[in-house]
Amino acid sequence: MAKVFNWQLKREMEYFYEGHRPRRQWAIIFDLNKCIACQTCTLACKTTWTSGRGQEYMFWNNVETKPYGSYPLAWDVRILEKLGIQEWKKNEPYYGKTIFEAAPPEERVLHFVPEDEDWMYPNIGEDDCTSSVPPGDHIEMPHDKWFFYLPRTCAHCTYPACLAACPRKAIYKRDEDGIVLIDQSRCKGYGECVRACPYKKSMYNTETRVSEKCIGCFPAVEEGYQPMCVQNCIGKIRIMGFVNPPDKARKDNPIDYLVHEKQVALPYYPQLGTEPNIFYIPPVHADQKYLSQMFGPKVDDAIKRYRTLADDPVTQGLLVLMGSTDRIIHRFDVTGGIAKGFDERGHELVQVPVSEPILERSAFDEKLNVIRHNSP
Amino acid sequence: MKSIFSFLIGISLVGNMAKGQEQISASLVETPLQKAELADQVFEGANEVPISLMAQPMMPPRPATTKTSQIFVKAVHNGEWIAFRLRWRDKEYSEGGPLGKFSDAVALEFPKTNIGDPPPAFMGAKGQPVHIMHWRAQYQADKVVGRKGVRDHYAQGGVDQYHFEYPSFSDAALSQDVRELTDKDGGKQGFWNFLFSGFLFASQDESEFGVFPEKSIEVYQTGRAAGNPQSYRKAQGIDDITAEGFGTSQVLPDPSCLAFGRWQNGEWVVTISRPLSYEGRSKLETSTQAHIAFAVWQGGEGEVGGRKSVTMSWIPLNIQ
Repeated sequence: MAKVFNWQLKREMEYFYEGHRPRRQWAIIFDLNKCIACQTCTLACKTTWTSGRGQEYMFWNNVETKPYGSYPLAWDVRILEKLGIQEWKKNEPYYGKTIFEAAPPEERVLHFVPEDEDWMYPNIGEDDCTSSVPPGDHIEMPHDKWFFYLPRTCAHCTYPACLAACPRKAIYKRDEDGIVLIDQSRCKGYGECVRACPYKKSMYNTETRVSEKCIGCFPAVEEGYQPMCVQNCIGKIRIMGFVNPPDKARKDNPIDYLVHEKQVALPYYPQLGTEPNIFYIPPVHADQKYLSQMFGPKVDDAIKRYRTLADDPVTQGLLVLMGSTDRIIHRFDVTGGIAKGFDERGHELVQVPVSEPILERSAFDEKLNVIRHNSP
Repeated sequence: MKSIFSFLIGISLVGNMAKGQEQISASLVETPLQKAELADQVFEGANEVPISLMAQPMMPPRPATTKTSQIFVKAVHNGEWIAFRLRWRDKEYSEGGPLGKFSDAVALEFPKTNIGDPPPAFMGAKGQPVHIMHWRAQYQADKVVGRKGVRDHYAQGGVDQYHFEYPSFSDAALSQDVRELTDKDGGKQGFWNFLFSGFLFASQDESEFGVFPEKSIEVYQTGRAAGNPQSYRKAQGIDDITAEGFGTSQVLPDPSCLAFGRWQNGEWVVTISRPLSYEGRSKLETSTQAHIAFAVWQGGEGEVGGRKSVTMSWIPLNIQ
């Protein structure tokens, strides 16, 4: 095992290979306060990449209802259970064990193997609340009865468990964008990546007898476009770009800004140790103990900061840029109430007002001589 | 590191012990051996040698414990071909297929060349290739009944349709509406208009109406599009492989070896035969001592890839 630095854990950790950061790292930020689980992302991905024979059960992108939903069944509970109770004190590095450090000597990664049946209920637990809401109940923040939606893609981890586990070295991480791919010509379908990925984002194709996974829509990314799940998000909750480690973070990079500068977007289950590159703006209403298990001990700070964004026009501007263009925004600027996104060469891609003008209409329409109802 | 060294020394000692105790003699017979399934009578005169197996110890991920502790081997040759009868206990038949289910399998390994010391028995090493014959119950099913797919593994599964895979004209499942439409329009055009409902499709080179070229379908089968041998039917029922170390195995085209296995009463009996002189792959000679190694997978126990039971070192193979 080599020693690599994991910035999310703020410490060196063990990994099967020497550390090598790609020149750029693909990343997505999801604002969980806005996701409505419409599954448009799921279908955008499905119709683009996994409509073939042998891919029937495959959802490289899925949206599950937390805490009870999961795909495959109980993926999160089972790896957390395997890892056991680990402690992470706020403002300190994570000194608990990662899945690499907790692996038994004969394994490269601590893992569990999902059963065939575990993949058969892709949206189990949909809309299930933590408890029922009795008549006359009222809700305070954070809610005592709650659920939220968790959209998930491959995290194209900096230290992928799938890559570490593959005995054939058929999985590789691209230097140009950090996207992790399974070489479809070399994979022998041993399923080691399916076992090892703690997020269970490697999947086995029974028809081709090899494993497959989210490819980060690399053909689009190479052309400067965001992945299909991001482009098609009708809630505009996602933005794809490139994340830097904290020491190289750029304030005008949308991803760096939300992850490092404002620290409102957090990686999920960072304690597993793979340094995942999908980040979430945590839901403000859900149980904070649950959220700190999922997003780490600083989740309460992230929520506090998010709730102050009404006084932060720059972050507001960045949030309205999300979903405003299909292209990858490499740099953003918010000046005079206008948010602008720029491509890699500095060309302006899009500009949007931070606040839309508010139009008030009277309840009675004089012209048509009718009362207006609450309809378009 | 210390523990690794002592482990390797241990392996070496056990290996030497194995060399002393275990060796296989291939007796001369006059029977033709160039057949996939060889009757027990062919091996009647051969001694059955129990060969010890252990959990693959070298490269993680590996099994913590072995599932198969012994394989019983008989060997015969006729001067041109050599055949092995392999027998081991396995309480369930496993062919793999569905997610997370793997196939029972056995492999024979030979040094690629007989010059100098043999390569490491664990998959060879860089510049020291090995030649492997890898039989799987799954590959045999490919050969005997055809390649099984999603519809075989999940008979109750329902899918609307796959790209470029549409029912043929004679498909009894076609509704009467479609038949009427196609009849009215004289056939082809109306039928396709019905199916595509105005969609443009780019395939220009279908050789026969209703049958799309494989290339069109392969777009949706990336393993096949990438030319991965795993993604095609194993017509021979066995793979010929070369390797130069862990994780380097490559399937070779056109295997000449033949194999057939039967599982009965909690036991596999597999016969594998190969030419003694296997052009470009490995060469065995009569009246000499060669090297052979074995690996067994119990797919039903999750054994696949490096999760296997193996011989601890090369086993001497005397070809009489």
